[in-house]
Amino acid sequence: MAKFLVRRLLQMIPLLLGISIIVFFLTAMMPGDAVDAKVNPNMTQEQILHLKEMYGLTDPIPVRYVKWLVNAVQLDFGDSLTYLKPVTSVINDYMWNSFILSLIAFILQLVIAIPIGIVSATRQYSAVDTAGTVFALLGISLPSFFLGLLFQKIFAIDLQWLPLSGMSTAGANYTGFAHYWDVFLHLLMPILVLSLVSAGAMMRYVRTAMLEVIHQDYIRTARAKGLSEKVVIYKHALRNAMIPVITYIGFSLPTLFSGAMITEKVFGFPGIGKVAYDAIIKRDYPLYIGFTMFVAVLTLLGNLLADILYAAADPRIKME
Amino acid sequence: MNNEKQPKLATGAAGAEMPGRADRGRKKRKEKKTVVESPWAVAFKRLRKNKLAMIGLIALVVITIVCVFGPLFSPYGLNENNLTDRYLSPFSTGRSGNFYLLGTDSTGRDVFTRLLYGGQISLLVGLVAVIIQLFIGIILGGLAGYYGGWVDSIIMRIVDIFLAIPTFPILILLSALMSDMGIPAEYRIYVVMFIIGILSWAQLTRFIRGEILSLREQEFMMATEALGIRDRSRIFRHLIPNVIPQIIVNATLGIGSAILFESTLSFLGLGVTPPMATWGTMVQAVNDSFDFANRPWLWLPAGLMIFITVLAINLLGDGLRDAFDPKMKK
Repeated sequence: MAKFLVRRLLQMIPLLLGISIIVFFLTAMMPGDAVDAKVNPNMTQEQILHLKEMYGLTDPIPVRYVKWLVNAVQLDFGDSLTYLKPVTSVINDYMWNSFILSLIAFILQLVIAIPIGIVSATRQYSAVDTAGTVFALLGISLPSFFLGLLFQKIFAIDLQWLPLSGMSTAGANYTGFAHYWDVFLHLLMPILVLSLVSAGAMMRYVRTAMLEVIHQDYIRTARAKGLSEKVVIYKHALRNAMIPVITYIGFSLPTLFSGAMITEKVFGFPGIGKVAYDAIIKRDYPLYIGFTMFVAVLTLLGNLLADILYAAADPRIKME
Repeated sequence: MNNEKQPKLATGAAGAEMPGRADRGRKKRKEKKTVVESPWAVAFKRLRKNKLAMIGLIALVVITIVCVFGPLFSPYGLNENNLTDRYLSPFSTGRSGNFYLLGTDSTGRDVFTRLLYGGQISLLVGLVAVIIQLFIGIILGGLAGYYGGWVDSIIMRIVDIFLAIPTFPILILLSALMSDMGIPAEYRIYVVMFIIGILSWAQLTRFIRGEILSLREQEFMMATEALGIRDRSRIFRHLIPNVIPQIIVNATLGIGSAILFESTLSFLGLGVTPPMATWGTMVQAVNDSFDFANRPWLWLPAGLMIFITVLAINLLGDGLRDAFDPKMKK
């Protein structure tokens, strides 16, 4: 196990290097830099050049990359140009909001997708299955920004049931329960959007996993020896069908910290996704590079966690 | 549940046996006929039986035809403004006496006409992005799977990097780069197609490589070796055609996701930009909070079109997957 972990973590290094090179060189290709962005019209050309030298912006790109890399290995991604503090602390400040939002949405997604997926598979080609398939494809096909806008128009503007955007009512200064209720109302629409948009894919996933298991011989054996359909499905089939689902959950857990850029942007939700979007609009490259690397690390960790859970859930798989 | 199922199974089995015996002769003749059917014909038959997939296919064909040929019949141009007819609601006739099916926008442009032009671009972006993806995926996947060894190692390491890359952040970064380099609006769509294609080939490459890896061990490949056929035609004429069904499924679903990417980017103002119209840029009308709340015809139809088109593509892709899957035989 320890050997497996070490090897997998080592394998992540060349991938992260590759990604960082791509991201760094792309941002370096952008015309204009941090200093150009906030040049004061009163500054002389020499002052500007001096500033650029101070920030190391006059060096050739590969040199800048190596410098960045040396710092990045020590978890120093430089300072954000808009927040004027270390990139890591900006990410730390906002990722928790995203995590809360994504976690609730993820749980809701599972609650919607798993039961429908199971029923869809056990009654393949029935009306329930067709309805499930249509619902799943609706979810997969809905652009999250459009669903978000529809919700805003219906629930916030027309019906006025829910607040339009943000995470809490500005200037209200609620305390205690009132505060939590206020946050809950703000979270409701983004949560619904996120979970509805992703429940479809999950549902298909559960359905496929379940179908594969149901067609196996041991299920026929279970039926042949006269077990009730309930026991066959929910005791014998479900356990094996849940293995890929558990793997999927393992893969998703780390990425819950990476934020949902589009949904957060549409709802003005102060999460890491919106911060990253603003960073690219304001050309805050240190923050954006830091964010992209953060997401890449989370994705790779997700893959690793998925493999570990896969081995843990399925004794036939050995970690090698 | 159990009680319900038991008798059903029994009658099902009996029902299947009885007619089988009664008209065995006719069935035999039928079976002989089906033997000569190609896998393609079988798949197509199965697809035709799938109602959802057919709805998707028909919707897609209708949308494509209307978007491509519709503008020819429209009395308005893409950027033709009629300043006397600004902000008209759907089904209204302007002061100039013109009729507008879906109303007009801030400069009196016909929303319906723009919707059709926007559809052309959205569909084109999806199609070209997928062609790029297929081009890279088939070549690299074929090479990696066929040659193995160091060729495979190098290609698959690149694939690993592209699979681990956070797609959306990089997509946004590339689009911002495009804006900063001052690429004019009419060329931006080509860049967007290219970017989406470049970022989404890895999955397909890995899939094709895996399939080729197992296919090349089969006997027909030994035959090609014995015949002394060149590597290039062994890969692209003997191996790849075996994977085409799955490639078609992937490509169909890929068009859907490319359209989603494009519309999201354009909605964020990072993809195709005005005065070019795509469905994504039309939804941008919501950035004006008054238009968002009071003039839904400016953004709602475009958003719905993205949704319906992608849904149609997904229905078709899902049906194709089922139709090509040999395990799906009932």
